[in-house]
Amino acid sequence: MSYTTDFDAIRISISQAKGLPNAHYIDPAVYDEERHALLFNQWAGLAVASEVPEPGDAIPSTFLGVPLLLLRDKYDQVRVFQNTCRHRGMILVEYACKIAGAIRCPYHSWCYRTDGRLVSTPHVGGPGQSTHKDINRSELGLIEIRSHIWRDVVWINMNGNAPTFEDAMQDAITRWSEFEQPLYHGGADSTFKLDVNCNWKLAVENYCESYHLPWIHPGLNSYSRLEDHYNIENYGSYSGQGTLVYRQLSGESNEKFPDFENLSEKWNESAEYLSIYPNVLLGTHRDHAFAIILIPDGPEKTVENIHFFYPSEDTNEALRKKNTDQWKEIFKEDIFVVEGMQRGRHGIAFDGGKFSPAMDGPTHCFHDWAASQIETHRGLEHAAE
Amino acid sequence: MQLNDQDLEDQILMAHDASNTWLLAELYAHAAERVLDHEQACFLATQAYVCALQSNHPLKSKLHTFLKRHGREE
Ligand code: FES
Ligand SMILES: [Fe+2]
Repeated sequence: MSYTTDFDAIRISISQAKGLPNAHYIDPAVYDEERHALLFNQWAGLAVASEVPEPGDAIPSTFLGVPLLLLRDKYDQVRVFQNTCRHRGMILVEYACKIAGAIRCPYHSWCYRTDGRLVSTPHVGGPGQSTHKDINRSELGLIEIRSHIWRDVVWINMNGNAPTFEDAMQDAITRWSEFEQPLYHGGADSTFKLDVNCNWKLAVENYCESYHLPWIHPGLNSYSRLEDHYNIENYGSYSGQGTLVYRQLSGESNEKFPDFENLSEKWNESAEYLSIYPNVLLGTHRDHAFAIILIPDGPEKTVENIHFFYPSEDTNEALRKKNTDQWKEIFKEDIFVVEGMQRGRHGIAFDGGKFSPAMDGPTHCFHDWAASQIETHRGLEHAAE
Repeated sequence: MQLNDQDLEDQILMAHDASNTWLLAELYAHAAERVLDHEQACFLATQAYVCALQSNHPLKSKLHTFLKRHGREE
């Protein structure tokens, strides 16, 4: 590996630090390296469990080039498999569907149970003979990807090397422990997708800072002023921002969403927004929450999948729609800046940028984390050579 | 496939075209019962069994028992 990044220039005090250099946003080789160091080696967000509400529901997807199958098995457990048949490597499931019985490979019809076990290998020993002494079904189940559900997000650790989810996410889980209660996805009116032309890290960086609020979200700023925000920096795992003046949305006859139960007073007017490294952006309020899952699609493209959640299964539809629309406007306002920063990184003399020591702490926190992970990854690669 | 039953063969091909695995399980099972040749019967029962597994058709346990009894399935 011939890449050099001056990690020391990034991992020092914010007053002196620079941001990650251009190559980390535009170079396909660095993107591939970060795919391993920052995404496969971590607990990354893939989807939300509500996307597969019933046993047998299955959704194929491609995550960082890897074909995956998200499904809810017959025993109601959400699982993630590699969507590749153990025989000749055919893609197993092409479209989102409901698996009635077994997953049948469309090529030679090997069949897998929804928990991944290989259940039949038709004609494998010759016509009409489905067994063979060299075919050990118990060794040929679907390859399962380590997964964990927290706040309805399906987190996956592709290479199996991360610590347990609870260990890796301990600080964030503790910070929001009051919100450890059921979350109900608002349904079809409470999800949308944005395609943005930027490296996924720029979406993380823009989300975790409040410095841009007065200029990019002037409407928001009228009641949520910059000085009512605070930075959140938890080196090594997450960063973000909080507001002290959250006001609940209300409908035409002043109806509101119900609150999460037993919250401390602090949350009456506070809300927090965390970028959970690597790719999940979470928000929580007294009466709703959301998750944005960033799906990188090459160095300069990202898909943002956005989902809203409520404290109760039964919430006012019009109010839900209003909430979704309001957030959509805000998230859309951010698109031109993340895309503009992406284009800006083709400026060959850009040096990673100069941080505001007062305002850019959360971004520096993310760069510090990213740099440490990439540095470790390069060290291991180097040692292996 | 030699079922000597053009009608059944047509039905099977149509069910394949329609990806109707539930119906395929039934048609193959029916065909397996009709053929005289044991190897043919095992072949057709295997086809039926796989379709029954996929579509969660109740025929699957009967087919499994048949195939296992003849050493064709685990
Ligand atoms: S590739 Fe799946 S059964 Fe052959
Ligand atoms: Fe923003």
